[in-house]
Amino acid sequence: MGLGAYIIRRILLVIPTFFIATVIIFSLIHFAPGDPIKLMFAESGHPVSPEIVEQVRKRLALDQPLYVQYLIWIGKMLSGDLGISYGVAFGRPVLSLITERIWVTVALMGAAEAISIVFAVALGVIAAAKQYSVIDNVSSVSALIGYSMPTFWTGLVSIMVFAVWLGVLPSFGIVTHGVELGATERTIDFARHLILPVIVVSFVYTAYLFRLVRSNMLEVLRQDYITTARAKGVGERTVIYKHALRNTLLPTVTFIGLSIGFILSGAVVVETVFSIPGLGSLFIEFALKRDYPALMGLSVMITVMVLLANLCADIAYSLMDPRIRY
Amino acid sequence: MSRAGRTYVAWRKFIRNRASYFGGVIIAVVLLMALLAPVITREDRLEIDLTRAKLPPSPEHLMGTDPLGRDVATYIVWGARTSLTVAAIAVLLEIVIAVSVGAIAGYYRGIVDDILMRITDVILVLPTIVLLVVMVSMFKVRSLFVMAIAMAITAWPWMARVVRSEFLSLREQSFVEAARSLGASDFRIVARHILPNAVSSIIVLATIDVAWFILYESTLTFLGLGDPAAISWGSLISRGRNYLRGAWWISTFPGLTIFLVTLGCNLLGDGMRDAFDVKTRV
Repeated sequence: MGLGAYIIRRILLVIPTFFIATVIIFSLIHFAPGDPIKLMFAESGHPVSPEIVEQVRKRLALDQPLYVQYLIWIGKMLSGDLGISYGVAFGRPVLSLITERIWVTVALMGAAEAISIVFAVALGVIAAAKQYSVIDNVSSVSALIGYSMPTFWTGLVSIMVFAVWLGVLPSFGIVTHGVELGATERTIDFARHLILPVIVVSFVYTAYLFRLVRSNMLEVLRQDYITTARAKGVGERTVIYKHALRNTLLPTVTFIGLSIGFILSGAVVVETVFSIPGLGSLFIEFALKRDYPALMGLSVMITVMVLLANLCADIAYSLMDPRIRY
Repeated sequence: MSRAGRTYVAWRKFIRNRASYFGGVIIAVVLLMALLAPVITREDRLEIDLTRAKLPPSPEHLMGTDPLGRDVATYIVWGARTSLTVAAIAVLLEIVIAVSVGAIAGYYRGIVDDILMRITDVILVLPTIVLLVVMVSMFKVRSLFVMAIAMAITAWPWMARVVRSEFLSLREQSFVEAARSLGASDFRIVARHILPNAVSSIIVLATIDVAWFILYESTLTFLGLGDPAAISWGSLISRGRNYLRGAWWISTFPGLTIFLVTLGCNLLGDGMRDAFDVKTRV
């Protein structure tokens, strides 16, 4: 099988995965006990006439059998209609809420992902190459600590130290209100607001990724071809950075794709802690207000993001490793 | 080597590991704290009393008091009960689901196995917090049990896959063949001959998952999706959130507690994984 055929097959594989995921999301909400529409309006707090309740029920096709409901819903999703937010945004389409907020989340996740990969790979490789050295011990212990800290609490502690005590960084939102800023200053202001959230997400994720890179590298270093290279008199630097590193990075690439969900979970929590208007905090608002149609629409959107990231990682892998195509 | 011999060697390796020893001590302390909560604390310190609100740490209130005048240290001790109960229920449910599904898939293979693997693939790729939030918000009541169910449902795929892979290799072993030729039923083979050999993997994964469950319980509660009536570390942290400037102790101490307990579980899990030589990813 050539590279092109592999990539096409991999793209086609996304389709069944997408459908299984949507069935899971759909059934989670529909097997919920109680009347979701009544619950939703009860939670939103403003009085609603029975006609509107009926209208929403019709719109969501809740009077139809379950599989019909699913087909109608998934048809709408595929045509770009992610539903209407009744509970949170008084009848605005979910898609427009998403397009408004997605960039903040993408910026947050992208920056955190980039920082984590650089630190985790560099430290992981050095730690494995010098197993049991000071640098290995220090970074392994730090990783264990990062791995065990609750993200929301790390966020609060960072706010306490850097915003409240030292007063050097802003503690919430993404813009400073009440001041006129030029284009450059606006960008700097935005970046300053993202520093703490990005560090908090990166901290956990670096810990997670570091452990993986280190153990992959240790495994690679134990293989025969490394011993052969050393026996032939290849320098230690070349052995590590040329022979071992490449094979360590391969599984890491797949893992990065798979763990996009992990970093998204971090973003959901961190956006809430720092009151950042992104997809994560929107998701929690929907959940708290029991805005089910909107919650489902956003979940589908998140699923698509995760599956695409996964797909990219797999394609990158196949470009890097010729063995995978056969 | 006999099974008893292997267990002995693994056990020796495990108790020699200082890190996992440390983890075990933390977990033991927290378990005792939860069990002895009524003995080691005074329950009246959990009552709301605005005259002693937001008092800083002192000999009288070791970790200070919260905005409603409750003693933070006492609250943390009682919170251990909540945290451990939720984690225990979730982990038991998880083991039941994962062992049933993993055993069926690994023992019978075929179409059941294919379907299972597709479903686990999808659940593994979706963000856990997203699945948890969707599941918790669909229930009318917000309770500890709801959180435990949601956590078990999101967590079982890892364990099911590990159980499945154990079963796939164990079912080909000659002792299983021997049992089958003696006329043992499928149930007997699975329960008496294969499952006992998969127990160490299940225990290691369960320990690591307890760490995750404790984190998830506090996270969901912090986000406002937990049990509003429960004494939970997450809700204490959330209450202290508005007082970071004046009363740092309210959020700091429960957070440190969550960190230590999670660390303890991770150290214990890692130590057992290395000692019993268990694969946690498949």
